[in-house]
Amino acid sequence: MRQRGRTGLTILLGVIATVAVILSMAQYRQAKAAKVQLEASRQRALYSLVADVENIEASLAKARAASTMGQQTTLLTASYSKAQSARESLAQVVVPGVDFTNVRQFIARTGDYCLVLSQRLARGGAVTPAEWSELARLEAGVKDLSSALLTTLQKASLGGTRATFVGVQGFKSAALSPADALSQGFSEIDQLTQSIPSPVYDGPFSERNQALLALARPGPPISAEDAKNVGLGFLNPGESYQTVSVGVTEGSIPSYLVTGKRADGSEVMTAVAKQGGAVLWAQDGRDLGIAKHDIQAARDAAGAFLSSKGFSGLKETGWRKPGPRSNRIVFTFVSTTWVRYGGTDVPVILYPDTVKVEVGLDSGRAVAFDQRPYLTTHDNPMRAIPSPLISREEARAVLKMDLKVLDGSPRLTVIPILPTTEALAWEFRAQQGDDTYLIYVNAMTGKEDVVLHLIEDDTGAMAV
Amino acid sequence: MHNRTRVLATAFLTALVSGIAFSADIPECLSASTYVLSAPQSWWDEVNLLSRLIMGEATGEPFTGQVGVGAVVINRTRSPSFPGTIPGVVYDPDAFESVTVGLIWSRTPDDNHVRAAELAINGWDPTGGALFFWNPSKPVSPWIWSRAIIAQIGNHVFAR
Repeated sequence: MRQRGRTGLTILLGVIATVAVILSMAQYRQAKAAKVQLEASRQRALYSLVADVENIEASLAKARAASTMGQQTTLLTASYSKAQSARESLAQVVVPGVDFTNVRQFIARTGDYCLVLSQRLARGGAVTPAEWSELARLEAGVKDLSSALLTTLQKASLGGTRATFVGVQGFKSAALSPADALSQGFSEIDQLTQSIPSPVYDGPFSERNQALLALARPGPPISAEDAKNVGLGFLNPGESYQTVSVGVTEGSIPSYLVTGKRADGSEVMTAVAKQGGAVLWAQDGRDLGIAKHDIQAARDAAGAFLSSKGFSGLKETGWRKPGPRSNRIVFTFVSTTWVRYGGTDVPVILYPDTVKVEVGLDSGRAVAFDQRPYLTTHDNPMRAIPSPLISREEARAVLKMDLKVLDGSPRLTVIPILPTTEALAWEFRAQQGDDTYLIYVNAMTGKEDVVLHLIEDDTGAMAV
Repeated sequence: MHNRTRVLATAFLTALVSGIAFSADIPECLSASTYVLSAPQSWWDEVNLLSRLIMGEATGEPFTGQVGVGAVVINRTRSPSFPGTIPGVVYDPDAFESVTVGLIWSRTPDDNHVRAAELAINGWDPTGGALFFWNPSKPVSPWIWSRAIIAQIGNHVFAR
């Protein structure tokens, strides 16, 4: 009886062990397949990167040889497009211990430079001889990068092998292991791209526009104690907190961070500019309850909040909330000014001068505020808004005739083209079929600067 | 569905031709500071992904710190040193521990995570332009300390 029991136990253990081995093998195969798949996708990214960089070079070379503005625009746009693809491919390449910052910057700025020039050509502008020379210099850099990438790829012996797979050693006769070849190759590429000077231009990724934005009117320095008083009295005046602390941030606008902590752990944080003491932004991190107020009540609350902070004449340009039954809503406001046009003063909407207020629909009170864009552009002594040289009618003539211009259009606006550049533009709200657009025609040059597609629903408006 | 595809396609062409990226409102969309140059994403998909990252990286941090983590992602999309889209930045290999270990898919973001993501996408940046953040009390790569620290919010330091 005991013997039979032992035999049964042995059989059972044997079955369990066999099943365990089978399951382990299955898991091992799955894990191995996943690693192979991951490695394959990374190798594909590397091959794509090589192809994209080669295509940037080819498009740049053809753009420099092209004689017509149409061809130049097309080819520079193609260079930009391939640079974007290269950025995406590069983002999926993994080489342990290698920093891709320099090669990323080089590719991004090369593409950006091409885009800026192609957009200028598309708007009827010209590329200067110096800019063509700059393109030639960048093309040479891209060519060197392309060559270095190809060499790296060849040294790593990636073609159709599993050489870099985890746990699989291939090409043992090679001087370098595939991983070492990649590491060495990309280290050299890092040095190569670091040695190529960035183009000097006015674009989003140019070094000058990556520099910090500053307050338009900084004002005298304030103390931390002053900042504390300003911060505590801003979003919820009169509220007392369990603890209050004042920190600093040396970000784009150096500021004091005033934090009031409630008994429930939630915090109200307010950033107060060190220079002048203006509130840059404020956020109340309390949990928001069930919505009790509608959009109009929230709009009124946002307006009253801004009035209480000394703002006047701001114009709401949009609102957005997370869903039809959401408990919060963000309103965007901009400032306005006047210019002479046709013998009268006409209003101008200043889109760069943005102020945002988030209202909690549970309490109908402001729960977040941000005026950093406003503080960097409004009343900027460097800003000069001219009278338009292009009339409404001339601007309308730029638009396609089958666009239906809606009532109230056009409006005169100042739009940001780059952080350092603004343009005076006629804003047309127009329809084509069921779609609504905002179209901006430069009021000084008559060129169509920007086209936005406006998508409106019960959660607000979204311009894309 | 067809209409949505058409809208996104049109939006992509608009963004490509104009050089203006997606955003939630007109001034932001016009602003070159939002020059993301991304492929079209629906706003809500981006909010969802960013809120998951905030959940994974900043749960337990003060609300402003959560917005700060979201702002770092947005700032990276505007930097030539990083991928130009929110998904590109979030899935940048080994950039965020919560993505590497799969934490961002293990739970559902709460309302505060979503709100923090919305504010960050809407342009709120309590860090003043940070591109990096980390918790100094946890082990990190020594390299990260070479970055210029510009703010501390909760347990995170933020750096450029």
